Amino acid sequence: MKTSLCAACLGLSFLIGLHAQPQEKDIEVAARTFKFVEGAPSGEALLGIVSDPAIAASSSQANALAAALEGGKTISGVTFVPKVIAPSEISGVDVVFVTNGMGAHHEAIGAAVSSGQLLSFSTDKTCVTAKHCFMAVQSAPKVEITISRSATEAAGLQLNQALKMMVDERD
Amino acid sequence: MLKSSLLTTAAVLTLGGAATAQSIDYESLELVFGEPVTTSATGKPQRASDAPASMTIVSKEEIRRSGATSLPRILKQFAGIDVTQSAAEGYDVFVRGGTTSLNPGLLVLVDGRQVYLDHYGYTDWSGLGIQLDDIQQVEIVKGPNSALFGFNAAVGVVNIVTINPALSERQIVSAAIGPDGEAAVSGVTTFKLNDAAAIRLSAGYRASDEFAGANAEIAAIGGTPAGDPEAASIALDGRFQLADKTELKLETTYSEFDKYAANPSSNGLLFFESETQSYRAQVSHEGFGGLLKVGAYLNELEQSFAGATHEQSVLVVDAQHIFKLGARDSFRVLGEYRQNEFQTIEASDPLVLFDLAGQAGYDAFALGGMWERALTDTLTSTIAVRLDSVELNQDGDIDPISGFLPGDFDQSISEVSYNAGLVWKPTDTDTLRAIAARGAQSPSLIALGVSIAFPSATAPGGVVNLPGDPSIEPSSVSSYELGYVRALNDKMQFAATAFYTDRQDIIQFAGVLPTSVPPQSALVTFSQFQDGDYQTAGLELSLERKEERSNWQLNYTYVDVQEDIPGQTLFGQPALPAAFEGMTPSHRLNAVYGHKIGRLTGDFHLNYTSETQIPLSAGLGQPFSNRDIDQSFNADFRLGYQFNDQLEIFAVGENLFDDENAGRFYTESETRGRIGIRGVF
Repeated sequence: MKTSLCAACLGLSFLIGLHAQPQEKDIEVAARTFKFVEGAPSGEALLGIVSDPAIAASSSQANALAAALEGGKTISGVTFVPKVIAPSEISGVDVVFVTNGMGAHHEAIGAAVSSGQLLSFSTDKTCVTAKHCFMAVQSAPKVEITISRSATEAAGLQLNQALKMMVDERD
Repeated sequence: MLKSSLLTTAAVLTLGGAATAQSIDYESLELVFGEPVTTSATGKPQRASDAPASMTIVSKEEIRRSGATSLPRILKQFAGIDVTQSAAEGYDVFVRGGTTSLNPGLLVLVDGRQVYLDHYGYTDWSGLGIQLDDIQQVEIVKGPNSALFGFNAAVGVVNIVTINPALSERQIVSAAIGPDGEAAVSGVTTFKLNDAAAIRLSAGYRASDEFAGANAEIAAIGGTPAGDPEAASIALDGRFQLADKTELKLETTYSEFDKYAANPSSNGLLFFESETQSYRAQVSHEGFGGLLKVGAYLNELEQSFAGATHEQSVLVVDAQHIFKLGARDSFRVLGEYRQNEFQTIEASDPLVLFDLAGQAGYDAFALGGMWERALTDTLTSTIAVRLDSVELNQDGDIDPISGFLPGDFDQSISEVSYNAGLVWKPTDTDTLRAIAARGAQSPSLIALGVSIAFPSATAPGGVVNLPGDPSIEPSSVSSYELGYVRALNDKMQFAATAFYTDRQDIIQFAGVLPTSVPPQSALVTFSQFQDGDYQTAGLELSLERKEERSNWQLNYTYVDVQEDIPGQTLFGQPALPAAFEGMTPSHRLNAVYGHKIGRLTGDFHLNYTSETQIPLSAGLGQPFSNRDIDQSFNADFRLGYQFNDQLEIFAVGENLFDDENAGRFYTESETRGRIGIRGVF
């Protein structure tokens, strides 16, 4: 019995990680946490997709995400209007998405979101562990949410206690 | 009256601005994490996959699509859970073996309020006081969880979480009829009085014919069937935002239910006529670095059986604070006061010899704590410890046959429970769990010390007496388990759990005091005795896939029980023998399949349960012998057709193979069916 069940597991495990649009799912996970964050945007929000055209990983993720959200997309009550921006253009947006591979810019991004009291998130966990992004999300193969306590405080955000107890918090 | 006072309170409590509920928002958090959220494992909110406990969470959609009108029919679909059905509504639910009549070791709660009945030590599933459509989810913890919930969470916990009217809207009516006298009607509505006050109101009625097999068994021992099962209940739940981060919950329930259920002192059937009421107030506040809850509730039961009427009440006042310190440490501290009382208020027969105005009860104090620490990014440890201290009290005459003196009832009991767990997630898709726990099952109030005398036509002396024994102590449960869960993809999951449980100092009915057996005594005196132990070892395997159109689940449970419980005697004959080993099935296999095509939904549940035995006496004073219960094959289904966005018509079939052993009891089960309509507005 156990053997046949394990065989079934192995046979079906090829499906792991198959997702059509991971960027959109990641945004979805992030948007759903917003109702548990005091200071998070609601209604229509200009989403600054922070990218560096010189970094391939960043650029391709920014383009894919901008295309997925083109014209504005409402997810969990928040309408995201995408705008691909450089780190220096953060002050003009409502919420910030930091693309992958932007390690060299994390410090500058962190300073800008703190100064603007903005919610920033990424799929790159190093931005959170470096204390420059508020939140890192991963939607597949299972949802993982990592939050920086320092970045939370710096951006003037406040986490609902239930969510706080359920996420992976870092200093 | 109560509704009007709640409305008045609501009108006054309009202090808050935008509602920021302090209750756990299960639905929204489940959407965030893509999996159910629970508080039943450690008290703190956590993802089901993070819980340091073997858990099953049943969603409201699974409840609806089961077609069941009783919760046990839904619970029996899952690994590690065994359900017996002694009569049409006589359900008992067991976790990981130890099957008996009226399970004292499974604590059942509605939103953390116990619906477990302390006088006999069991849960009557007809008396939950809520409708199935009230339920947000059912959280089942397998294994002891006394460190969180105290006495009686000895082998498991079923915490029924209802929908929060401040967070969810629901307007549902449902009605069904069937050829065997089945009639079920229920309604649930939520509404907001203003931005800061929300109400949930629900009511329902359910009836059916008793199983012909149950009536035949009653007739076979010279009895006359007392009636068919019938249950009605109403619940009112109000949530009031007192301030931005402070919520008040006021709740009351009432239920009335008449039915046959198993008699734990003989495995015979007893007709219980019951009435319950509950009142609750709880304040939740997000502050002091965490979530603070302070509340109180009162449960009252009036129950008649075997010619006498009894009253039981439990008052609980509790406070808990859950908080996180730093990034890696979460804590829970709690204090609880509990007052239980039980007394016989009326007996129909003048042969009852004792002063029945006396009562027994206890005052219990508890202190507990939980500490969860993320040791590394992938490894989390949890330790929870709780001390329960009980002071027994009793007044009124003491049955002279018992031989106890008033001073014997000045007893104190202290018990320490713990739960310790390690959860390791070596990869994104694998979770390993190691758990050790110690729980305690308190003696029931009947076991501890209340004199109850029942008129009996068949007993020598005409009266059967249950004097209680204040020297009985809690029985302990030690449990160890290893679990493995693998997410095969975002829809599919495999889980395996191996467990070992050791129960010591078993409390069991049908012990007989040496001086109380005729001809030495005029009366037959039943007592509970405390002796012996049993161990269970087993394996639970499950594979499930959930998606919008179709879902399925296969699960298998193996349980081996070894018991060492010395036999007792009654009239020189062996008394009700220990039967945990015989009554627990070794193998259970469930297959659940659901599919949606357009407006049609179909859900099917197949169950195989291996053979068991049940000890049974032909009548009071007659020798007990084991009756074999053959293996059973059971199938339930529900077919639904969504007429439009609001209305669905459905058909339900239960025990389709007409297997007389489907209830795992000696009474013959029947095939039942009904058709109905359900409206969601």
